Amino acid sequence: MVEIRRYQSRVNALVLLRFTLIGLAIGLWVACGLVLYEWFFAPGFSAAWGYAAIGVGLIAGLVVGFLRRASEADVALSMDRRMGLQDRITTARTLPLDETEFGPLIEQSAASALAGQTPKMAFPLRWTSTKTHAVVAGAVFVLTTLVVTYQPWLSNKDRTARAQMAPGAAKIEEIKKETLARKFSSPESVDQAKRVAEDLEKLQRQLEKQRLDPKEAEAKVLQLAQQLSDLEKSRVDSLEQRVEQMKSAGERLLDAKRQEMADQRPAGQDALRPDPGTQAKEQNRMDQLKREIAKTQDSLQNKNLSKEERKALESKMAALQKEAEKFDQLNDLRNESKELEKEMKGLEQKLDSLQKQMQNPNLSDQQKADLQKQMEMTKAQMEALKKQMEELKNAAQALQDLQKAMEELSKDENFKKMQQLMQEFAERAMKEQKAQNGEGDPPEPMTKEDIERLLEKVKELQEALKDDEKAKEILEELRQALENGDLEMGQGGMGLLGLPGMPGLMGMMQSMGMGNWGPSGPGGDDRMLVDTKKNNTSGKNEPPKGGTQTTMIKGKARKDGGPSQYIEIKAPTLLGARSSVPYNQVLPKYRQKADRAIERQQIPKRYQDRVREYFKSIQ
Amino acid sequence: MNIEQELGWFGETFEKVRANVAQALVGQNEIVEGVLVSLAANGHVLLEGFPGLGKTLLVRSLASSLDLQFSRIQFTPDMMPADVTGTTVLTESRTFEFRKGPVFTQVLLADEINRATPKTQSSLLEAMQEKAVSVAGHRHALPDPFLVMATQNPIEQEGTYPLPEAQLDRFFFKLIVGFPDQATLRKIVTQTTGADDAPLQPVASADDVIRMRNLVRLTPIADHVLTYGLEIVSATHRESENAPESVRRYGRFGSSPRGAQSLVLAAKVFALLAGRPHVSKEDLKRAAKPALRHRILLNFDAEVDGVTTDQLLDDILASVARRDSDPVKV
Repeated sequence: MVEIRRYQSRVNALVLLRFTLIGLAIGLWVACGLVLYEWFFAPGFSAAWGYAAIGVGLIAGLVVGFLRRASEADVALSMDRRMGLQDRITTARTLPLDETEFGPLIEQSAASALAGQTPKMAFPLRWTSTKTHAVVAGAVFVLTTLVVTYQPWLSNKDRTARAQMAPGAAKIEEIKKETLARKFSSPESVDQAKRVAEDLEKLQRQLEKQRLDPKEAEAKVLQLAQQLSDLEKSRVDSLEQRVEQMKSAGERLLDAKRQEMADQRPAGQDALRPDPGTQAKEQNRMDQLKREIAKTQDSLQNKNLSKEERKALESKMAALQKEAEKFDQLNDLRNESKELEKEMKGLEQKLDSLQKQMQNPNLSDQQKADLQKQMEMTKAQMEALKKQMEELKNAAQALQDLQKAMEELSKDENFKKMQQLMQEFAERAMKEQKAQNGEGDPPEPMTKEDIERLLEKVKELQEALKDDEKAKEILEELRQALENGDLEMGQGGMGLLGLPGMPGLMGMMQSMGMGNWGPSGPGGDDRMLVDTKKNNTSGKNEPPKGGTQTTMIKGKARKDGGPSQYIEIKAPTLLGARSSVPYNQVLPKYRQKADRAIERQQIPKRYQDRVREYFKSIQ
Repeated sequence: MNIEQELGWFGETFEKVRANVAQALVGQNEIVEGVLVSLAANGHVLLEGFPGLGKTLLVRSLASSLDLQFSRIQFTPDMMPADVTGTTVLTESRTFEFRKGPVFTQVLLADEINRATPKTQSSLLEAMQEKAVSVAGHRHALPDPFLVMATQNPIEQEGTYPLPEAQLDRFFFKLIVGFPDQATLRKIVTQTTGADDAPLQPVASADDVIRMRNLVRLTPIADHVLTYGLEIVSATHRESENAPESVRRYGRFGSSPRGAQSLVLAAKVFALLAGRPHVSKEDLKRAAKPALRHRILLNFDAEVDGVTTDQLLDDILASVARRDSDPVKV
């Protein structure tokens, strides 16, 4: 047998080289295509794909080259052709030489034909079209990459202008991340946010690679700013609506119960002057509350409580404390009432005294006029005092009704469960609030299982309270909030209206010298960026509009210590959502101060109702 | 048998005969070689060419060189089969006796075979195929070796009977005797118009011819080479997928299997002549035209366009060579 293994090895090495070059050339052409694609259509397209294409081409070429190794028969045929051996090698390898008398001669003929030949002579490394192709592809790739990277047609001035804009890319990236981190309730908004994020990424890449001149950059930034503004506006609208629904629904339920208590109240009953029977009842209830609070506190000390049991106890504790606070508040009102009555008596005595003085015939006209003036002032003070006492009476009445309503509701098991649910959300919100203030770790994010568990509870309650329209309404809203994921966001203390990344974007614009975009940028105030008609841009409280109230929610502080953002949500506070033990401890004190300030006319009249409503809403 | 020695002997003998014939016949080396190849392959030759080109001289010289019997038949339309094969006559002793015709020889020149009637032609062609003649119920074997060299004139078609395709197929080779160039012509004229040459001396014998034929038959051919040869034959058929465009356009019928046999045998002779103990593709290419040109039938379009079978064979060989590309691309 003629030995041609050396020739075969040479051929296989050349085949491997050939296919590797083919794969490399294909990879290079694809990479060229990707470079041009990136240039013309997708600046956000990563250059890594181009290198990946080259790598894949190279590896694919190697694999194909390995798989396409030449067989010995093919090598023999090729040798016959290339070396002009007139089929000597193939014949010597394929004929059954033992069966023919010509066998030895054929083998000898083949062997002598190979004498003096080497694999390199038979299969020289020649410059083939494949190699030319690979070199051309490589050259085109390098050229394309260089041209795209350095843009040789740009003047030095253009180049400098573009280079100055490049740092803005980092800010754009930040904006993009913030946009993607937002949660949106509607699928349309989610899609829109994704599109905006894609555009932002495109802009980022264009700035990084200095593909945009300042005018183009300005136009794109303006366009994106508008898109972000629209997006955030739709998001905030939806979120506000949801939060408002949640909060008002709880409040409405309590209001309904309070109204029911008011309707049942006997005529002529004065909450400020309770009859002995009512006083006894109140005292009993107060004692009962104290006992229950003490007992619940003891129970909470037990470390073996399950999570569910602890939550139930905490919820109960909060309800008891709230009811106890109402008693305290009622007593405060009664004490105030007594003081006002004393004051009234003093004024009455003063009026009597003035009237007596008026009857003195020796008084001059001037003295009479002064006395008359004093009497009028005293009457006016008495009138104001009466009005105040009336208001106090109404407040006490309302508080008593509320206390009774809460007492009634506290007996209802379903309401307890509902309160427990809402308490859970409230605690979560509190933790987030504390975390933002640097007072602890943020709560664990709600898992899908958590949400499903809560939803299950809501459904159970819905079934149990299906005859109670108000409760049903609340639960339905709770359920929707849970499903949309808004509840967590609404209480999470996020900067709701600080448009995602707008400060950075505008700062960049300013740094690029593209006009005045407000006070953002170095040292600027980010909250003035875009007027969504919901932002408070003045730093002062606005008078309430419509039936809504104002709550301030602080935005998340930036880690780099930059300017923080805040917004105002014009919506009622969620019932119980922001109350907690420390909160409740300080609330009565502030409330008394506020009431006193109102009484003493220290608060402008147009803001008095607002202050009352505020404290009423957070009771 | 020492194959190496046999190979050497084959080449030497062949060359001696050729050189001997060349003493009498100037030029026409290819024709001489073709005739010798046919002889070595045990085939018959159809020579086509103008009169006076030395066809008779070639046959006579060949016979002399090989020390073989030689006969010549000048075919005419009135010639009968018995004039070729022989006939039975009543002798004085009132017995029938077979009188052998001119076919009973070792080298027969059938001059202008297309002038004989088909009946007479077929009697010769039967003898060519069977190597025997049947007369009056008796079979008479022809001597061995037996080589027929038929000639036909391509220009005088009036009053001729062109050989049918089936009979053309029985010729191993068809050789075209071309007009010699001026230098050759000068040699011919100089040599043949002077004093008579001495008669040629035999340089080989009939036994040598038979020995050569045996050696040819033993020569091996590798499978891939045989495949190459069969692809050539298959490409002569217009309906074959291997057929080139010219064959599809001008071909009517392609070669028979006998053509493939002739091709391979001729290639074997060429291989031995090259001193190679096996057949190569080059041998097949070399044998293709003489072995196949008379086996391809052209259609009317070919006649109108003046296309010849040799042109089609050139296309066929090119087409087959293209398909037989180098399997290793580096």
